[in-house]
Amino acid sequence: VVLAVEATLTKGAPTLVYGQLGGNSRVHVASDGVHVTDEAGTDRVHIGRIGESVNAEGTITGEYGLRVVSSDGSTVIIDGTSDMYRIAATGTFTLVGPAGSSGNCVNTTMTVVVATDFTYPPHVEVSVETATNQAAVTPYWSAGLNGTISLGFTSSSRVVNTDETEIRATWFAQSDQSALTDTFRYRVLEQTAI
Amino acid sequence: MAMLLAYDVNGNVIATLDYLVHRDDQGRVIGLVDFDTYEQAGGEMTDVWTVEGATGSKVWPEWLGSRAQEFQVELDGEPGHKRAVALVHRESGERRERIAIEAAIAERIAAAGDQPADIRDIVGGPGRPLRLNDEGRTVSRRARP
Repeated sequence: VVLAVEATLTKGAPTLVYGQLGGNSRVHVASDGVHVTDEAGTDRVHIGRIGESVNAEGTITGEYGLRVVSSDGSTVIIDGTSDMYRIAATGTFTLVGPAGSSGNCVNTTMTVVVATDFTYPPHVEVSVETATNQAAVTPYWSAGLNGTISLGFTSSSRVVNTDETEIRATWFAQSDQSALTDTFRYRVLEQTAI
Repeated sequence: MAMLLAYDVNGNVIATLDYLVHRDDQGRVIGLVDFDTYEQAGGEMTDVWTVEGATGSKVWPEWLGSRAQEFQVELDGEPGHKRAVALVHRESGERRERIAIEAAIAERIAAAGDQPADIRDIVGGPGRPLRLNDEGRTVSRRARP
C-alpha cells in the first residue's frame, strides 16, 4: 500500500500504479479506486468512484463513495448511492407503567431533549431493554376487545428550542401497569447521503 | 469520554445519554462530544440534554447502559461544581466509586507506556456497556452475569 500511495502522492505527474498490492493482500488499485476481493476473487469492497462509466460525451460518471457486498457476492450491503441512517445520539431512560383499568386507557410518558443541532424532527427508534413487557421496538400495539387497544408503546420526535430534538415515549394500557418499570433505549437517527 | 446520567430528586438515575456526535461549524461530524471535559470546564450538562422528571445531570466515567438506572448518584464538591463521585446500587448497596475507576484507568495507562492503553474492560464504551451482575458488580463479558 505504501508503494502505491507514495507513487500517487509524488509531486508532478503521478505514476500510475494499478494492480494487486502486496501479493496476497487482496487489495487492488484501479482507475476507479481501491477494491478488496475475498478468497474467491469476488469484489467485496470498493472505495472510490462507484459505478464508473464513460457516457457518450466522453465524461466519466459515477459517485465517490463506498460499496460493500455480502459474502455471496449478490447482496449489496452498502451501495454507495442510497442514503443511510447514522446514530447521532443514544441513551436509555426509565418509564413507569400507567394505572389503567378496563375501558379506561391511560398513559405515562417520558421525554428526553438532546442538543443534536437538528432543525428538523429526525427519525427516532425506541426499544425496550428489559423484558417485563412484550415490546421489542416501538410502536407496539396489543388489541383488546371491540377494537380497543389494551396495551401499547409509541415514540415520536419533534424540534424544540430551534435545534434540539425531543424524544417522547408513551406507554398506555387498559390495565393497571403501575407496578411495572421498564427501561428503554432511544436512538436518534440522522439520514445521510453517501 | 464518558456517559451522562440524569437523576431525580432522590438521586435515582432515570436516564442516560451514552454519546452525542459533535459537529463543526459546517455541521460536519468530527467526533463525539467530550462530556467530561465540558463538565470539568464548568459546563452544565443540562446544556446538552434535559430529561422529564430529572433534577440534575452529571458525567459518569463508565458506560452502563440501562443498568445505570439501578443506581443512585452520590455527589460531592462545591456548590455549582459538584461531580458524581459514586453510584450506589439501590438493592444491593454495591458502590461504584469514581476514584477507584480513575485510579484503574491511570494504572492501565502507566503500564502501557508509549502504547495505547485498552481500558474497555474498565469503562465499557459507547454502544458497548459493561456487563453487571444482579448486585451491580462488573462481570467479564465472557462470563454469565
